Amino acid sequence: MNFLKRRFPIIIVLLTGVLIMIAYYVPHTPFSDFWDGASKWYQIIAGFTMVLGVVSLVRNHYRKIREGKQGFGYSIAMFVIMMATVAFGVLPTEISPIFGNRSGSVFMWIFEYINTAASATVYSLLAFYIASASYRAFRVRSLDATIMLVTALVVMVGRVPYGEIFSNYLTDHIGKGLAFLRLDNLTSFLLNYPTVATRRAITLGLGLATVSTSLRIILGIEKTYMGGDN
Amino acid sequence: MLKFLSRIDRRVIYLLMAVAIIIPILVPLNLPVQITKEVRGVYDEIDRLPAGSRILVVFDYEPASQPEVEPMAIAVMRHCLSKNLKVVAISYLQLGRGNAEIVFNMIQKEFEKKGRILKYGEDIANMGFKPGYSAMILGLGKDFKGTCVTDYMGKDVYSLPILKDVEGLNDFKYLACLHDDSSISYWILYAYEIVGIKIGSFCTAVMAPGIYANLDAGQLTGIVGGLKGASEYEKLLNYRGSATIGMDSQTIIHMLIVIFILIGNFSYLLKERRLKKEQFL
Amino acid sequence: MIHRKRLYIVLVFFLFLAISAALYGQTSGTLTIPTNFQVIDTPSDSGDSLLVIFDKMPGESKDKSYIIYRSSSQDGAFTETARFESDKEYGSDNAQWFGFKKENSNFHAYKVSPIWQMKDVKIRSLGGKVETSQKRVKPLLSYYKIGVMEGIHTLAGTTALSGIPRENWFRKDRLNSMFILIFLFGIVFFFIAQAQRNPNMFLRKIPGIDAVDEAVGRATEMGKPILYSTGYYDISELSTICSVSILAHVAKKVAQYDSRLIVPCKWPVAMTVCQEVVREAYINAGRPDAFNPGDIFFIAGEQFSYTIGVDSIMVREKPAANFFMGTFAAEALILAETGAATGAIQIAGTDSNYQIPFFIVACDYCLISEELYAASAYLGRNPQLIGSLKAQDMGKMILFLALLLGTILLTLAVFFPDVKFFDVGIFNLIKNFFTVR
Repeated sequence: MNFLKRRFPIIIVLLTGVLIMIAYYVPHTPFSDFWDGASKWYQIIAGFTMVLGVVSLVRNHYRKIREGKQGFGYSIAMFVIMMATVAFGVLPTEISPIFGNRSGSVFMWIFEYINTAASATVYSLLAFYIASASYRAFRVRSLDATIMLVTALVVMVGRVPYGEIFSNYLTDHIGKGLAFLRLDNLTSFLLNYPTVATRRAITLGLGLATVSTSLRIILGIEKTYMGGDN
Repeated sequence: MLKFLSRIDRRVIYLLMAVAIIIPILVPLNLPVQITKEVRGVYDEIDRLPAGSRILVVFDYEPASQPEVEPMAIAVMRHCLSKNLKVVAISYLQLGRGNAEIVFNMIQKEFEKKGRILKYGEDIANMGFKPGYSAMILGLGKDFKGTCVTDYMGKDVYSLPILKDVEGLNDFKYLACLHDDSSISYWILYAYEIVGIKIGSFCTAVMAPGIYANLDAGQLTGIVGGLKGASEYEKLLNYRGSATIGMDSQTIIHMLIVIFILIGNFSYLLKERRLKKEQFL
Repeated sequence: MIHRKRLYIVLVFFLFLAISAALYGQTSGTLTIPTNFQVIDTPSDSGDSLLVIFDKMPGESKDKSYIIYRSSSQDGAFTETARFESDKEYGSDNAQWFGFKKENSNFHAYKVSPIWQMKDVKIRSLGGKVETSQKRVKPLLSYYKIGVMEGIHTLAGTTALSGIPRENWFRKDRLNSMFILIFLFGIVFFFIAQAQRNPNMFLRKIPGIDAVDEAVGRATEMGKPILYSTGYYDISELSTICSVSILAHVAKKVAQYDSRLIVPCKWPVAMTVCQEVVREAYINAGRPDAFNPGDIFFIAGEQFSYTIGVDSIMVREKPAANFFMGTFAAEALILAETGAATGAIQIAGTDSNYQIPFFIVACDYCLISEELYAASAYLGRNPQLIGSLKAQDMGKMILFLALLLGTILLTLAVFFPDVKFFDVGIFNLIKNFFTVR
C-alpha cells in the first residue's frame, strides 16, 4: 500500500517528465505524438475528475438541507438549477429544439442570459473595488509609493481622451518643445520601457524557478502534492 | 475636515462611481479618440490582406470579459467580412465557443440587413471548442482539419468549402487572438514561432501591459487593449460602437479615481501634519 | 516580288516571336525567375514539411510576389500551393534553421507542405452519426516550381525539383537549450550537494511567509477561522503545487493551535490533494480527530462562480486571516477587497504578473512570483530544496551577465558599425546560443 501511495506516483512522474523532455528534443515518431497523446489522456482524466467535484458539491449542499442550516433554500435552488441545466443540455435536439446546446436552445439561453450576465456583473465589481483600493492605497508614504502614485496618475489620465486634450493644450499653448511631456507620449514610454523591462525580469526569474521546481517534482524531491512531507 | 475625509464610507465612493458610469451612457460626451500605433499595427495588417484570404479568429475569452472583448470581436469580424476575407473561428476555452456563436449570429444578422448573406461554410466557419491547449495548437499547425475533425455543429470539416485547401496554420494569413488570459503566449510559442503565422492580440486592458514585451520582440503585429483599443479600432472602421460609447464612461471614471486619489492623499498629508504637530507639542 | 517581300516579313515576324519566347522564358518585362532554387527537407522537424530556398533577386518589393507550385509528378499539372510578397520570407527571418549570419538575408526560405498519402477513417461526429473522414498517412515525393507575379503578369519557372520530408531524430535548433538545461541541472545538483554539506545556508527573509504564524495566531485568539485559496488553476500547475506545500505548513499550525481552516477549491483534483495534505498535517500534529473534511470542498469550476462563493464565505464566516496562494486572474482584487472589508489579515502569493499590483495594494503581505515557488524551500528548510533555490539565483546571475554582455556589444556595434567583431562574430554567437526555439 505504501508503494502504491508513495513510490508509484513518483515513478509515474519521473517517467512522464523524462519522456516529455525527450519529446521536446526528438521530433521523430513515436515522440512527436507523445505530447499530443499525453494531453489527450490528461483531458480525458480531467473530465472524469469533474465527477469528484460534483459529488463534493452535492454532498455539502445535501448536508446543509438535511441539517436545515441557514441558507439551505439556496442549496435547494442550486440542485434544481443544476438538474435543469444538465437536462436541457444533454437531451437530444431531436426531441425538441429547446434541448441540446445549439443556438436557440434553453441551454444557450441560460448561458447567454444568466451565466454570461452574472459573470460580467461580478467582473464589473472590479471597477468599484479598484476605486476603493486606489483611495486607500495610493498615498505618498515613501519615495516608492510616490513614484507609484505619479505613474498611476500619468497612465490613468494618459489613456483617456482628456489626457490627449490636456496634452494638446500643453503643446499648442505653452510650447512644442514640451511634446515629451504629453501624457500619451509618457504613457507610451512607461508601457513600452519600464513596464516591459520589469515584466521581462519577473518572467526570467519565474522561468528559472519553473525549471528548478519542475526538476524537484520530476526527481521526487518535492512531494507535497501527494499529501506528504518532503 | 480631516474627520470627514477619513470617515468617507466606501459606499459613497461606489455610488459616485455608479453615477459616473451611468450618466455618460445616457448623455454621450463624444470625446475624441486618438489612434495608437499598437492598434494600427493590427488594423493595417488585416487591411492589407487580399480578398479571399483566410483569417483565424480565436475566441479565448470567458463570458465575464464579454463587455470588454466583444466590441473588439465585432469590430474585427466587421473589418474582415467587409474586406471579403474568410473567417474561421476556434476556441480552446469551453465557454469561448458560446461567445463565438453569439458574435457570429450578430454579424450575420447585421450583414443580412445590408443585403449580404454570409454563407456558413463558405464565408465563415466556427470550429467550436477544441481541448488540448498547446497540443491542440501544435496539431493545428501541422494538420488543421485533422485536429478539428468537426465544426461546432458536428459537421465534418472536410466538407466545408472554406477549409478546402487548408492543411495547416500556414494556410491562414493572420491570426486574431481575442483573449482575457495569457493564452496568447501559447499561440505565440506554437503558432508564431513554429509555423510563422502573424498574430494580433485583442485583450483586456489588464493583460495589455504584459504583452508589450511580445510586441517589442516582433512576435505580435499589434495589440488592441481594453475598451480604449476597441474604441480606436471602431474609429478606424468609422463607426461608433459600444466601445466608443463606453470610453466616455471610462474617461469620467478615470478622472474620478484621480480625484479620489488626490483627496485621499490630501487627507493623509493633513493627518501627518496634525500628528507631527501633536508630537512637537 | 511581292511574294518574296511577304515571305521576308513573315520570316522576320517568326524570328521576332522566337527571340521573344526565348527571352520570355527567362524574363518577362521586369520579371525574373530566381536563381539557385533548391528544395530541402526542413531541418529538425517531424517530417511534415520541406523548405524551398532561392536567391534574393534585385527589384523585390511588396508589389511583386513569389508563387510556389506543387505537383505529384515532374510532368504532371502544377498547382499553386503558396504565395508570398517578394520582400518577405528571408533566411534571416528563420533563425531557427539558419542562425543569425548576415548572409541569411541574401536568400528566401519558405516552408511548404508536401503531398500526403491519405486514408479514409470513420469518425463519430457530435450528433452520433458515423462519417467518413480523411487522415494523413505519410508524405509523398512532391515536385515544386517557382513563379513570380507582378500585377497581371505572371512568369512560371521551368525547373521542377522534388523533395520528400524526413523525420529527424534530433532538433538541432534546440541543441543550445539542451546545453543550457543540462548546465542548469548541473548547477542544481551542485548546490544541492553543497546544501547537504552545509544545511545552514543563508536565505533572505520573505516577510509574507514569516507572517503566517502571526496570522494563524491572530485567528486563534479571535476564535475565527482561516480561509485558504489555492487559486485559479488545477493541481497540474506549478503554482498550485507550491500553494499546496504552503497549505501543509499552515494546516500544521492550525492543527497545533486548534483553530479552523476553510479551503474552498475551484478544481476537484486540487480539492482531493488539499484534503489529503490537511489530513496529514492534522495527523502529524497529533490531532486527527480535529480534522473536518467538510471544510475543504469544491465550490464551482467557473471563475466568478468560485469568486462569489469565496466572497460569501468571507462575509458569512468572517475569517480572521485570508491566504491567497497560487495563480489568480481577474478575481484577485474582488477576493482581496472583500477580505479587506471584513478586516482580515491577508497574505497573498501569486505568479500572475497582472495580479501582483492588486494584491500588493489590497493585502498586508504579498509573495511576488518566484517567492511563491521558493516558499516550500523556505518553510521546510530541506537542504535539497534550499540547494535548488541557490541554483536558481546562480542561473539568474548567469543570465544577467549574458544580458549585460549582449547589451554592451550591441551598443558598441551601433557606435562602431564597421567593426565586424561586435556585429557578426561573438555577438551572433551569444545571440544564437541564448535564443530558444
